[in-house]
Amino acid sequence: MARKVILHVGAPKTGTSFVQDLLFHARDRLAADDLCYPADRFDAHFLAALDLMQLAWGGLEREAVGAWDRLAAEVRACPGTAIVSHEILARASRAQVARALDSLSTGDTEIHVVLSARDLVRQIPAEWQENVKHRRTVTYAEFLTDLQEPSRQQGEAAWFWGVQEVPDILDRWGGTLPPERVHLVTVPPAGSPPDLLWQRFSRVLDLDPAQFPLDDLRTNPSLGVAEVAVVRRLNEEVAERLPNHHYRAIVREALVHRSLSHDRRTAKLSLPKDVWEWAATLSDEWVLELASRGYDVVGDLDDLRPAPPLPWVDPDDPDVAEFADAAVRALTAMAVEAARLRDREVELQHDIEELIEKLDRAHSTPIYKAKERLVAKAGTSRAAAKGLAVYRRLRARNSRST
Amino acid sequence: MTADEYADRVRAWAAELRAGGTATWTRFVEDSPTTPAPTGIGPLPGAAQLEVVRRLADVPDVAGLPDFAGLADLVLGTPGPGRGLVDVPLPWPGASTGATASSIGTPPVAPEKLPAEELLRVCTGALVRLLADEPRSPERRPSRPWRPWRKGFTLLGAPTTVDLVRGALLAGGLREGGGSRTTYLVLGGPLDELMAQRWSARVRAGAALRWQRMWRIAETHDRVPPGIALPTLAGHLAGEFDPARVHVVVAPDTATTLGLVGEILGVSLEPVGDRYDALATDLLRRVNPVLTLAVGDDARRELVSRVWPEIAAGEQSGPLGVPARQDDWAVATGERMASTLAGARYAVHGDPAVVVPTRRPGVRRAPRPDDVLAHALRVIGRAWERHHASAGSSTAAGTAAGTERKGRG
Repeated sequence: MARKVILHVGAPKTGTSFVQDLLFHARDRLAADDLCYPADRFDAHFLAALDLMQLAWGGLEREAVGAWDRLAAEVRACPGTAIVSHEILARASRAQVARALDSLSTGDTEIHVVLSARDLVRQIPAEWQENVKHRRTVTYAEFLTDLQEPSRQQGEAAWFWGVQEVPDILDRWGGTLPPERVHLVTVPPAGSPPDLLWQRFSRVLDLDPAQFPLDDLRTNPSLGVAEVAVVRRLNEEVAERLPNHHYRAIVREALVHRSLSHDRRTAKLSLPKDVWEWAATLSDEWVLELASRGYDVVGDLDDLRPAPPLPWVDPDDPDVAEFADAAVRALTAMAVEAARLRDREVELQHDIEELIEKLDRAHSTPIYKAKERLVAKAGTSRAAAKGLAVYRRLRARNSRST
Repeated sequence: MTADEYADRVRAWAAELRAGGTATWTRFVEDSPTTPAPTGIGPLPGAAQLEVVRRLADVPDVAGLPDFAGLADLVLGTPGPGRGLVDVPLPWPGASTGATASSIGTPPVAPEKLPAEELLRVCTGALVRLLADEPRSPERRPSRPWRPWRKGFTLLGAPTTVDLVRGALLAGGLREGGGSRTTYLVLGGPLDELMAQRWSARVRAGAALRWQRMWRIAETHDRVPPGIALPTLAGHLAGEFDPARVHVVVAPDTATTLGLVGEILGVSLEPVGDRYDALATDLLRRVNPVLTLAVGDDARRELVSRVWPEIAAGEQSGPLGVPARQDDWAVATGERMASTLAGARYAVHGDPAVVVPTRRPGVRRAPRPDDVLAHALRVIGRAWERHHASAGSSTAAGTAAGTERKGRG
């Protein structure tokens, strides 16, 4: 029976992949300290979140049937503290939150909600980039206009605010909890020590940061202006040509994650001045609101106020030379990936040939040939058929074997 | 206005809707500003859930269903699945739904002004809950008596037309299949109708594909989906079997198709009307992923094949036309198909030019969300009726069994 459940519900683009990767790989070590991170695969909590929120996700939802109830049962069975973490949980409605909290609790369980948050001026471009990495073709200008439209009914606005509006997320998730069990981890400003965010996370997750080295962890590095412009343009071409599973493997993983985002050569995505001002005003309102709620703030609420604006470079109208350079790098990455897959195909072909050769050798033995003759004869001779049946009974093998 | 006062007013409206009321929120607030809050309404429902209940009460036959309040409770307790607005509050001067600053959270919307897409999310969630509760039964294939003396047929092409013609032929005493003596009939019509039927079949098989996307994919690949590519299908059959036994039938409607099929097979068949199911298909493509999450893929397939007639019942949407962006491609492709058919080495019945889509007045280029919503409300009403009847019969069966046990004891 879990005594404590720590529910990390987002937000996207705040170091969540890093935390999940660390917890997943350390789950055996954590279990020794009665700390459970119940997951049999890296994306187990993502699938559970899809199930809880009845979200379709490019066909992945087929793998999510019953995933939330399974996760909740494992959490309830945990003898100490259980941790659940996925950033799309931020979008849950009040009814879904109520179901989640109810299913994770065994009556006297102490539930803590954790939300990690970063300032809007960094989140807006990051979310657009995430959209582009999920094969969408919306331009940056359209995206920014949709976000500022008060009804939130255009484009991706409803989703964006659902997962990024910090006070509302905490109201939905923490509305029924004492404020001291609602933890807001702020992402430090750019230029802070690299392990500061982890120090903050480890405090709310009851972990000793010294025990967990920070190398080789899964991160989501960002693309530059020209690189993201290339991927968005590529999406327009491949949107109806590549099925989701190919897009995920070839564009998102091979091109974006393994290539372009590790080789960012162009300006960071930023906001135009008017949008920066609007976002800064909104951030100030949020900080005031959050300060009044009495939550456990891990870090500093001022981290949620934006840094001075970066130089504005429009990804809808990128520098032609930079765009061409990024496109050539993308083409190179794809050529290398094609060669890797071709090598793999040759290897597999070689494996198949070897297996066929072994099979042929096995089939050329006198005993196998005698068996083959017996099976053939059984088709025309009753005595041979009976003999074969007796032989099979003796071998206790199925009728297809010889 | 405090959060508590707001919650009381919303609960009062919910109680009125549960009782079959159809006043909009705006009218309710104007007409009865001081109604006391009722007890017994659970967590505060959102604007979309409340509006769906109000619309259900406005559908002829649905408000009069047994235990409408039970249906209302089911809808009020159903979160809208998938993406979309989160917990839409209702407008009220100075209202707050928890967050004290009014600029935080989804902005309030008068429920009657919510977009149909938002209401359809709630309908999808409610329908999935009702379907997931349907009694399960293993899929049964109709038995086919062995009657080798009867004329055999094999149908391919437009899926809905194939279903309708198959029904008429079986009712006429013919048998499906027939081995080497079968007659192959490839059924087709205008390309837009072929695509609409193919879309319906794909969605019934589990796809969550939109009508417009199916066209975009076809245009991008410059390829008609394989199941309705008439010349390819017929060419393959003619290459594989005796071309004299391959017949392509192209007609603008099912009645004409049936007439031509009857002539080819030398039988007289009962007439059958066209069947259109664009609204049901658009509803089902929304339901599919959520139902899969609720019951799994296999159970979804079995459920849908069983309840599809109920989902499609009562639809009078008419045919679907080519989306505007694919008009040129559709005409060019239709002309290419027609010309291949005209020069083929197998028999083509009807005018091959029928395949070329034409712009028909009044034909929609995509299902309108408002029409899909109206259809969804009727489907929910029927599903609730079935749900209620089966709950009643299982209660009755349980009572009867209990009585029987008592009698024996």
